[in-house]
Amino acid sequence: MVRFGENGIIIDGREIPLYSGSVHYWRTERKHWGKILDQCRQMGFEIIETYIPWSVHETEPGIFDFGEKDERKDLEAFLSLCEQKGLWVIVRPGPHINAEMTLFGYPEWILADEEIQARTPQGTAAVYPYVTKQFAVPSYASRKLYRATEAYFWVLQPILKRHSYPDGGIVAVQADNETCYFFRDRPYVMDYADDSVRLYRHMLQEKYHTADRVSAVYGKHFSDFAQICPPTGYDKEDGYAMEYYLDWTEYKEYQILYALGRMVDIIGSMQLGLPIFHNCAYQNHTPVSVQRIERIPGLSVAGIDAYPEPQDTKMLKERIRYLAGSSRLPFVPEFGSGSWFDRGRVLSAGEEEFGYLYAFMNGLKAVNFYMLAERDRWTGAPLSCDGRVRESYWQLFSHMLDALKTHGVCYYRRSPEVLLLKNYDMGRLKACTSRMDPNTLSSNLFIQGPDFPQALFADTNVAGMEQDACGDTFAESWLLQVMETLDAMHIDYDLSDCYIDAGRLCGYRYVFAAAYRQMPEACQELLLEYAGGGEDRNLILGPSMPVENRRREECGLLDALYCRGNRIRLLREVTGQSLADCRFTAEYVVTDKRVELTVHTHPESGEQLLWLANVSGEDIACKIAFPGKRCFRAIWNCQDIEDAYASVTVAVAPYTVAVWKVVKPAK
Amino acid sequence: MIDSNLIVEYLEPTLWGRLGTVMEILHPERKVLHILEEEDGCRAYYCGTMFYGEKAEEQFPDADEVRIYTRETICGFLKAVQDRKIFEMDIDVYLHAMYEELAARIPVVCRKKKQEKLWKILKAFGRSDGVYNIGIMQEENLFFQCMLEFRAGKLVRITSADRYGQDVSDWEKICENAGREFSGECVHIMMTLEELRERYSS
Repeated sequence: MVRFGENGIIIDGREIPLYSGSVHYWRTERKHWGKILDQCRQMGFEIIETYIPWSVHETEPGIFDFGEKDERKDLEAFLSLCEQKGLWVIVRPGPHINAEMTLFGYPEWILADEEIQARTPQGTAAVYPYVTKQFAVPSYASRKLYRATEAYFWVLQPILKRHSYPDGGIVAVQADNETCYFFRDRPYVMDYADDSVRLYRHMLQEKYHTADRVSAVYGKHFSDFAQICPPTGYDKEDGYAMEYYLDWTEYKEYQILYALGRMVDIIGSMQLGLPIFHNCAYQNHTPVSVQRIERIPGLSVAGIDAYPEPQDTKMLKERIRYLAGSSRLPFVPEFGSGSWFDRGRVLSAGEEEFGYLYAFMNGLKAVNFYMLAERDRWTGAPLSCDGRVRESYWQLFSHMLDALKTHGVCYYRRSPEVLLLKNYDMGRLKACTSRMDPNTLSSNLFIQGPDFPQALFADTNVAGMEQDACGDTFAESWLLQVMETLDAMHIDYDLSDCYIDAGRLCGYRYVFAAAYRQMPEACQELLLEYAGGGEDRNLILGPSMPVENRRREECGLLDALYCRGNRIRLLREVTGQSLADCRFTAEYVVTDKRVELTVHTHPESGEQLLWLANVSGEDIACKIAFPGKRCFRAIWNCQDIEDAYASVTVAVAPYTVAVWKVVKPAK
Repeated sequence: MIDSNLIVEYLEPTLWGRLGTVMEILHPERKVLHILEEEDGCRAYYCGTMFYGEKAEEQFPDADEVRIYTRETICGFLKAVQDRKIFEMDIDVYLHAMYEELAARIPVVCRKKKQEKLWKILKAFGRSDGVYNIGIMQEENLFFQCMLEFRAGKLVRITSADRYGQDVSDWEKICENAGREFSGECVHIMMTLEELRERYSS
């Protein structure tokens, strides 16, 4: 049996680190396959990942090529070769691929089929203007798409079955890819296709059961669900209650969960006996939810991809800590190694090193580096498309994997005592109050279409939104202030939202939850359970105390507890002073704002890894204070420090991460 | 002009990684003032700033272009540019058609002349079959290099001297190698970054 574990992937009953990398067989001359796979092994990789693109293998409807015409397409031979080389394989059969392919991996006739296309409010297809060809985005609700996908998957099934663990090397399957409306994820861009509207009404029926009930909530009379038409933009004059718009936003989430559920069912029916995962594109907000995706039966893990810019810390910190606080396995299924050709920049090995190490420092456990070998429309990987070594990148991966594996880094745990909960509903409210959401007509560097800035359409004068001044739809002022304050205090924290499991929530001593006047009852109950659960739990709400549910009916579950005593704290204004009475514990203390520090502890041995990042462009001599005496054994970018007492000063170069193993004197 | 099966291979990462700098010269970002006329007043957006009220044009005098929309004109535009007939076009033709459609439906005031330098260059290259070997020097060193291959008026391949496995920074050797591989149909174009700026910066 093979399955995901807390720290990696469990194969043959042994948990190994999930550090894999992408190689695209169909884009690599077959004579180079062996050399490339050997190099991957030499760098330290034990797992290879590949897409299996539909358009590559089904060249005409019903006509397949698995190497008969083009030897590069011999999937079976590639999988066999991986097995011969002792490499495990992760497969991603799509149907969405992207991979900088002209139609993102879909066959042309699939996307040309109007029954399959998503629809805009204008009744047209939703166009994606990719740099080599514009195409129509498919609908996640299209029944015809699933029938066609299933037929393609069943053509793959015998090959995949033969090569699935334990008979072969495949150890995991990804369901679809970055399922988020092709990055057009605002609520009113799409999808108004017939099948989608049908699914929308089905969701409403599941939620409200009767037309009378939905009529009462929406403030409009419907005698049948079929009479309800989806909104195409927010209109405060149309007499609908806000729930009508929020429901459409929730439908966009539902459609993604439905799509992934369908994909998981199809993969499940293939009886491969492999764990299934998904990669979210970048969202930790509507219409995507890592936790809800992980609740799809048969789907084990949802990760989020990451393509950081040089010296990025903001995105990586938020994304990785969100995964650490939300996912079963903090996994980045695509972490950029190199760049797509129309990005305009390629990160240097040093810039990539900082991003990777910074992510591990913040809780990354599992990662697939995308790509290990260059190919059509991709450059900057450790191997060229013909298997030559790109020295600086190759050295980085070789040394980094060696250090990660030698020291068993994935088995250590970063255990912050603080959790920050985003208010998922505030993102929904801000998203659904857009008067319209025009499609994006640009892609990357070359195709700069005449786009319409979303801010033009945001209706900010809506009840409930006055409590959050942040102009960014998916950020919240209060939470940003908490993050900034904790960062300044060098307090480590995880991030999540109201979809967190109750059990997981209870593992934190301090929970800061963004709260406004309205909060769904279920969310209030979750927080109430936390706050009422023990003396050592501290719930801090702000900027407001919720007193209503989302329909503006009185619902003050938290307020009632707040009024009864000191179990809940309301923090309207966030300052360092206002958090001064929180008794955060920190064994290691740094004071320089340009330096960040995290500690990972081995759950069995109690040994610690100390991670230190210089997030500035300056050389820094940084003082680390700690109780008692320590030795620090160098793991990365640093030197051994013997017998340090109470404090030590270390030099950290600009935008680098240093890692030590801490040795405490025997008691 | 851009072939949908465009091959992009053997890009030397460091040299190709400077594409952004080259594009800033050939395809500079245009600063657009967007004005939306609504029943409850005008809303304007310019470079990250929202402005509510009349006379947005006066508030942002440095905008290269002003576009004035209503929701109806935007809907009409979106309907036209996502019509089923557009799928037949090459992407560059589609991009051009989108701006034509915009100008036909929406008042667009160009304060600074729009120069489609990149697309003009590629169009000129595409007039005959062949390979353009482009090198841009900075001081004594090769700063950027690529080769563009055109067939039947279409850009079919973007590649670089990395395809020869060595001498990726030696312009003379690159010309030799490219001349050998694409005998008789390779045009070498070399200039300094400064010359590129002088020739193409507005």
